[in-house]
Amino acid sequence: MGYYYAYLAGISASVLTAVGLYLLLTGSGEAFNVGLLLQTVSPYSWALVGIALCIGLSVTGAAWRDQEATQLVTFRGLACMELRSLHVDTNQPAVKTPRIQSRNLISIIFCEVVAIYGVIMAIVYSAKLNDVAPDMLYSASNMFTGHALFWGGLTVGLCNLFCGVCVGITGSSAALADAQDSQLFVKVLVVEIFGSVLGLFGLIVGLLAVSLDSILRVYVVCNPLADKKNSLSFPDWQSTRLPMKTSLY
Amino acid sequence: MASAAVWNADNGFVDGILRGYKSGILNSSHYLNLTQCETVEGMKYISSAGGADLNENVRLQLSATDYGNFLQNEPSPISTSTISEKLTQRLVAEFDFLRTQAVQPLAKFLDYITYSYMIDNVVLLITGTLHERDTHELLDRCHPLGVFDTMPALCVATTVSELYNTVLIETPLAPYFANCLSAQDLDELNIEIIRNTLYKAYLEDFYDFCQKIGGPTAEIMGDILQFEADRRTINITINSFGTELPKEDRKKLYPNIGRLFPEGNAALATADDIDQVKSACEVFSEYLIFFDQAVGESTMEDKFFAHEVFLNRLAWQQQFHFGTFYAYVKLKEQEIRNIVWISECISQNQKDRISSYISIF
Amino acid sequence: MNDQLKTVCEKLDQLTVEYIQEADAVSKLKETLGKEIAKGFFDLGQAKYSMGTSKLSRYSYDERMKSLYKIQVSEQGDNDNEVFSISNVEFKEENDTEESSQAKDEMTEKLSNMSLRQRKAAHDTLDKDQLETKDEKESTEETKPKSNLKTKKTKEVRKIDRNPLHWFGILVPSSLRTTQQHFKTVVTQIVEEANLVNRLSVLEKRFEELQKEKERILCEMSDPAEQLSQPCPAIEKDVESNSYESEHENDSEDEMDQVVPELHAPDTA
Repeated sequence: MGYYYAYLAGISASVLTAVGLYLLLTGSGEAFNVGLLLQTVSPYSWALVGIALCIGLSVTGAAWRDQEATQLVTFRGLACMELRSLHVDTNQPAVKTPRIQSRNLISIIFCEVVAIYGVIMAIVYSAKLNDVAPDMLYSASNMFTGHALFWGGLTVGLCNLFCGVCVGITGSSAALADAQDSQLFVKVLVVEIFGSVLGLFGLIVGLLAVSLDSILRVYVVCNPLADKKNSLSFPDWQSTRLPMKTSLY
Repeated sequence: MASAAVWNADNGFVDGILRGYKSGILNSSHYLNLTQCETVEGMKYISSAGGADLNENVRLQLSATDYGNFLQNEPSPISTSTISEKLTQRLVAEFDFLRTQAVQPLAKFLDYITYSYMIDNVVLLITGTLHERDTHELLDRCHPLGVFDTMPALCVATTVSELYNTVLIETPLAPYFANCLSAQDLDELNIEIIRNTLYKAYLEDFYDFCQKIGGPTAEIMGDILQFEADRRTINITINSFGTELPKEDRKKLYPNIGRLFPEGNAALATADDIDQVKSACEVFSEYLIFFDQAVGESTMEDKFFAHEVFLNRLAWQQQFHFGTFYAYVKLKEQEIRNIVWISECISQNQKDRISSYISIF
Repeated sequence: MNDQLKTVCEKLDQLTVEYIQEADAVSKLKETLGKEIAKGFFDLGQAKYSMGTSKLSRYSYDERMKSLYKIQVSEQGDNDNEVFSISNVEFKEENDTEESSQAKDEMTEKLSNMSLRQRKAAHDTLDKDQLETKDEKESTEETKPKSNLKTKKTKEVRKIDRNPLHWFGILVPSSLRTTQQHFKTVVTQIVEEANLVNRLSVLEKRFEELQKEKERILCEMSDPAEQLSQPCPAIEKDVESNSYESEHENDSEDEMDQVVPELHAPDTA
């Protein structure tokens, strides 16, 4: 059992080495071309994968968080009922600490917020998807948009994922602290709020990525129509050449 | 971190129940009320909250806590052993509930906790057979946390190897018998050696298991088990003064996981009186306090228990580990010991030593 | 007559003084006995705290157990026609003290020489008086002269460890060992006390006899004619000694009643 990961890593490493060596030794080493990959993958796919990652990872984070919180709030309330059923007499109150159920729903609400961030970004990104003619597909702006959506979505998704995990752990601690001493709940809640700010950061960065794109698009779209004499515009991406002096002396 | 992130999925529910149980442990104000009691027996009515005079008797006091009316049906006068039995039954019920709800690896961890009771039961049955007692009586006296299926068959064995081959090979204790298989007859000395050898193997196995789990479990359980090993080493040494246990045998009974291993163990194996024991343990400043002899205040055993309670309390400071389960069982046992001590002092009318209990929270 | 009276009165005085001394000794012994028992049970409570209550219970008793002490009844003295089975204890007591001290010497010798493990054959017999049958139920078994034979026999089968401490394990906490010491002391002290109490009752009997004789003498001295018709009433001089007698009678009866309840103190189970 413990060797499973070792075997997996070993096999995959050897396969990759074999393929790489094959390519190298049969003269088709050029086939391994990252640049070509980046250039030929359709921007649509970048964009859509980005959106998918955004919403997918956010929801994973939220679910993770949700499960932790639910375990604590609902099950501990239930747990305390089970606790009582062990006892012979039933004169004592049925649930140990029912008060934590209402206050700890706040923790669960935080996790919903994380999911909502992901949904918002997904909607904003999907608004950037437009129908484009095939020969214009690989234009600079489209490539930029595709990549921007991919990495923006990944950023938002990962941030929300980690935020969800963080808020989950602190929310669980908050429930425990609250059960022991109700004054502690607010204090741990402050810690939880700091944790949920991570999701907010992800949202901001995602929005920045999108807005940068729109700023750039204005200039880049206008560029081919711009007069070369108006050198205030950005240079042409397709034919960028660095000015070089040919004299060596 | 990964353990913290996924811990609640498997263990959140059981942990919640455990923390609910933990808040029911008696605290110092309960103990103060108990020490004020005049008698152990009580009136046989159900106590309503704040109804009767709470300073009157132990049974009444206990009914005002989480224990409820567990002593309600006992005829008075209650003996301290009845109280102890009923308290243990309550602990066993709680533990069984936790055990049935647990998944791996928590289930395995809880099983490890039961192995020590299994060892006690095995030794009880073997000793009882040696003393020619009735087997059914003995089976009733076994600790419920340590029962296993083939227990009644233990009563027919006369030598260790027979014991192992017929009965114990199917129990979880089988791997611990590796060092004590011999064709010797069972007499008191050999039984004592067997008991301690089994416990040593169990402690080392448990320690390895906890270290494999890693994380805060390894840290907390490591401390607790190391102290347990050292405490057993010191106790075996001191209790063997004046008995006919030879020193080489004594050395084989010391667990290898304590802080006293290896130099302390070697020094203690050759010790002949308590001063040599003290000098062997002086290296560790925490262990020095055990040897301060304040006569009449608390014995060395009391100090050991106090330190154990301290370590078990630390387990509750962290989350997402299994140490809390072990700590709960041990703290509950200490609570039972405290209540029985207080009842003994009350029934023997020796109230000057009644505050020797160790308050937990 | 006067001489007779004088001797009787002197004897009574002597007896009173002796009685008071003995009663004092009994009460002191009772006190020490009480303290010893209390210490024993307290240490037992401490041992339960260390070891756990379930380990120290009557379920650990060895069914093969044999008693380690024997009480013998020996009737000596000149009042063999008495209704009670307690005989005149004076000479016996001297003998008893000799024998008992001898036995005690043997016992202490054995205790000091042998370690715990070797006490397979450490049976002791103490020759003591039998207590009143209505209260006493001590078990008696003869083992002393045969103990050596027995160990030889039992060695062939299996060595049986006779030390009750080992029923609970070899490595027991020190509080359990001190419990055993306390209870051992108690057992010998109880028998001593029983002896003294018997002696007290003998003294009482003698006191009564002397009292009656004194009355008889006084009656004879006062009116020989009335002696036949009715016995003489008690004279005021005897009021004090009567009150002594009645007090001490009550005391000794209470003491004797209290001897056995101490034996049946709460058991370890």
